[in-house]
Amino acid sequence: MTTLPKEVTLSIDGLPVTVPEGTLLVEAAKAVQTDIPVYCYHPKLGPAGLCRICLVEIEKTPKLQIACNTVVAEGMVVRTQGPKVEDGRRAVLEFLLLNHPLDCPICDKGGECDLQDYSIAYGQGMSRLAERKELKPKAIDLGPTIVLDDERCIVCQRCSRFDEIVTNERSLVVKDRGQRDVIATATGAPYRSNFSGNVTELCPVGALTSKTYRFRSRPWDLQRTRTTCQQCSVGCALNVDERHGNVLRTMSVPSDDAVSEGWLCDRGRYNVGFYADERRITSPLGRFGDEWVQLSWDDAIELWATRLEEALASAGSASIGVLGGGRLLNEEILLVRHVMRALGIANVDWRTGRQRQASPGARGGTYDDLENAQAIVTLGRPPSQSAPVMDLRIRKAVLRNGARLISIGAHPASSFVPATHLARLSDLAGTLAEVERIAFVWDGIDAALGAEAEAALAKLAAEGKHVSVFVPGETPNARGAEALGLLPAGGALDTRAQLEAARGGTLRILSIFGANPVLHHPAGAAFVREALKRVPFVVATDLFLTETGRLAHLVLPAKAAFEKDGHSFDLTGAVHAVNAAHGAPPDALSDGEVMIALAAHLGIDLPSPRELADWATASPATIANGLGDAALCGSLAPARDGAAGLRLAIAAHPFAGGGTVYFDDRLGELRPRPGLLLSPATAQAAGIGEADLVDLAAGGRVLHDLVATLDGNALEGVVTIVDGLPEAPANDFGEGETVTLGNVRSSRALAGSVV
Amino acid sequence: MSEPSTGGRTRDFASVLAEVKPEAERLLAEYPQRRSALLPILRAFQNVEGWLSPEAMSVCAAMVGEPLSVVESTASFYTLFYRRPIGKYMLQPCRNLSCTLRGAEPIMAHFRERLGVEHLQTTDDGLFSYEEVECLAACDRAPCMQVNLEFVFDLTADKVDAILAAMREGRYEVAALPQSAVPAKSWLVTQAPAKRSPGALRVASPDAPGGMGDRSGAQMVERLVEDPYPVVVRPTRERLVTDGAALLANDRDLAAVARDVRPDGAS
Repeated sequence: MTTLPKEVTLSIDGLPVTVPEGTLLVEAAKAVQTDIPVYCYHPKLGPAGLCRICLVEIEKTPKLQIACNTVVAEGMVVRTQGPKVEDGRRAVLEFLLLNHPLDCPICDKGGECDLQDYSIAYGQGMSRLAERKELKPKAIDLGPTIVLDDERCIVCQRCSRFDEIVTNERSLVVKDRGQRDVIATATGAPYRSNFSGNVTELCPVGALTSKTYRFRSRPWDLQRTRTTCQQCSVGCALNVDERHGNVLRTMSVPSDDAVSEGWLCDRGRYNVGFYADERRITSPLGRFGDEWVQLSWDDAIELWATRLEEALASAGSASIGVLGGGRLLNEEILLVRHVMRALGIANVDWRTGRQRQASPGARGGTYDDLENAQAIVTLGRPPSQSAPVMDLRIRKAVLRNGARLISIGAHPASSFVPATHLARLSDLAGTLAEVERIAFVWDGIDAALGAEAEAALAKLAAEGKHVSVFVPGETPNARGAEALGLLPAGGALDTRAQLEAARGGTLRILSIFGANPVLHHPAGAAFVREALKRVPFVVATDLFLTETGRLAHLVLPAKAAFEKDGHSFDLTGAVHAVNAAHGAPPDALSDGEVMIALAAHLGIDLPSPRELADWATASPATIANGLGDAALCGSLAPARDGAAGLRLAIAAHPFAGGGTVYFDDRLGELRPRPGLLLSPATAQAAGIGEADLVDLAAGGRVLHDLVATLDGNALEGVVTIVDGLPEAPANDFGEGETVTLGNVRSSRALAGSVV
Repeated sequence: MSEPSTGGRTRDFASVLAEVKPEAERLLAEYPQRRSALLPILRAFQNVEGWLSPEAMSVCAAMVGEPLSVVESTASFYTLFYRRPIGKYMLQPCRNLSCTLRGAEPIMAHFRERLGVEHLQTTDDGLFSYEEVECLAACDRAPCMQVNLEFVFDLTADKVDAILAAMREGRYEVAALPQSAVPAKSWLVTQAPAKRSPGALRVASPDAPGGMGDRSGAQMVERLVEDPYPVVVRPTRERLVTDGAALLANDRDLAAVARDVRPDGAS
């Protein structure tokens, strides 16, 4: 048996290049920093050989060859420049530009367009076409986010290949043939994807543009800052493009982001309109009775400090509660913890929603572990909803590496790759026998399910298998809040206990940092409202006056993610830098700055900036003893009551649950409507049709007017609703509860009544 | 009995499906991968129906386990598949390189003038459907065309006139294609243009009233307290609205969400 050489040496433009065998010429050329033009080729999508612009000359080959689909060979002599190559590229460009409308002056891509750049480099400057150009549709509304201009399109198929290779959603295709081919979706179906914005970045020309960015700016007028997305816990690197104080767009960091691999989800990309929303709080607000008064920061901090001192003196630190922190940066979390500890306050809890635990224990995995897993088990809410870009890794593992995806519980795993669903974790037994590398993804909500999974994965690990664990956060820096100590220590009150204490009248002060428990805490809106109303002094920091903020006595304008510097953890525990890209409203302060001001009023010594930076950037300690850690999660029993009937599943949604979504008018259609999801059989049994209006009830609590959607992927006997919608708050309901559906109004009858 | 002037079925799809189904099942069993059977199944449908109706393509998609978009993409590549009902004679002159060099353009202009229709249209009498197609692989005898999939070579304007005259008089001998629907005039299916200017998105400038720079506190609080959340956009018949739960769905018929489900005044 002969062993093939692992590396080959060739010459590119007279320079020797040694690259691994099998490398494509276009990649090998990067080693000598030679820029071979490409349109259809993309490192993450592979070669397609469609556009022909990457022509190079190879000695002993009579015709020019495409560099994107030619594999290097030993002794190959390649010329990427010279008259022959330039002639070839000029000819290719002449065809690509044949029917192009040449509307660069009104095209959003102008200034960052490969067609423009290569036309200047290789084009001939004049068209020789004497005939009429082929006319194609322009400004096509492809879906809620994207506009397509078919005349500008060179049909490189990067978008449709992305939709096939990376997302496997396959809604974008090429239709027709020859000169008349266009990018399209199935007839009448809009292009709807959680990752739709990526096609605008992949598009090498101005064919695909984002609705939120069309006609807004020229690329050279934008000021770019690299930061880390704070919309979920995945931690994708992000470029923020800002002009005149407005965030105009966000772009991926394609080449060197190991987290996102250059993809962004639509929430991360498009949810930026809230920065400039006119409803943002722009100064501290005090509520005295029913009257709201604008306060200066000095007065606001003094009010807070005075109330804290009074409460400490009269009722002690046990009468003070602190909630939230999962949206803060590490430095801010540390400052909150520091100040609260200095005051002796131990009633601190970041968990203002359903999630009980954010750390994976000792077996926390990296994204590479996830990608290389042979089996991926999701427990509870699937990451496709709560950590979209992480779901792309899972799709990659399934599609390219043949991994098995198994979901357990009340939520099916993924709609876009083959998956199996098991009702109980015990059904898993034996199915992973021949698998070596296993990843578990737990939503951190159902502690009992987590603990059961921990036992199962410990057993698998004991068999010598490589087990990695992932817990996507409900809030972007849930991991940081937990690891850096925003937890009740030594028998202090967690969120629910604080709310109960508030209802009992023993809580004197409640400070809420960037959280909205009225909408999110599973105790239910009415319970939390009642609790907040009984606390004599509630302070809330937030961007907007949310349901919770409206019950506070002091509301402080916070800085949003692109307006502050610091660090955050992603769900794997990696540290990422967050850089201010955007000027905050003049009077907004970050929660960290607020803490510094409060410390100054109270005479509390602060850690040095150096200490703070060291703590904020250190890897998070392993604080959890595995999934469903009793010390972290408490002994909360899941709300399964075992009665016969429809069971309720409460799902996350990328465009639900954050104030940033609800104060971003540009998202429009992307926001979910209050609805419920049923399998066709379940719907039929309940007498419900597609798009009917339904009321959902359990134990006297009702959600009115939910729009029914029938979905073949839904589980039988399960009704799924979306968490965190202000119009239909799901936190009055418990996961697994038995619910009844009633007051069904047929969509046909309703449609008839308005015509 | 007068024929409708625009398209309409003369045979319902259920009977088409009943006829095609055994053949489709046989074809599916023939290939190791279901998707390999896509082209033969499409052909089986067209052989019975005479064209590929939206229903047929949806059924094909379900049969081979591919999204409808992929089926439509495949069908649209081949000029052998018709995505609209066709007339008695399917005229397909070649518009590609060899034929163009040999005078296809005046031939096509001649066709358009004599028939009074454009590319992908059918004459009002339902006799002729006209499509300018890509290379038919008969370059040696360009310009060429196919009539009901049978070749006609060395086209000239006179030859075109003679052929059309023979067809009108019913003397032109060519095998008939199946027909199960009256053809409509136009074949074209285009995607809807953007309804409103997609660029007209509002971003408040920092100095605008109510913007970040505006400090009128009482007014601000009023606005915040009265309307902390914007009113949910009421779905209209034209607008496809994302349903929250629907985004979780698989293979969902997105168009079905487009219905107007909320009457005026309902909350």
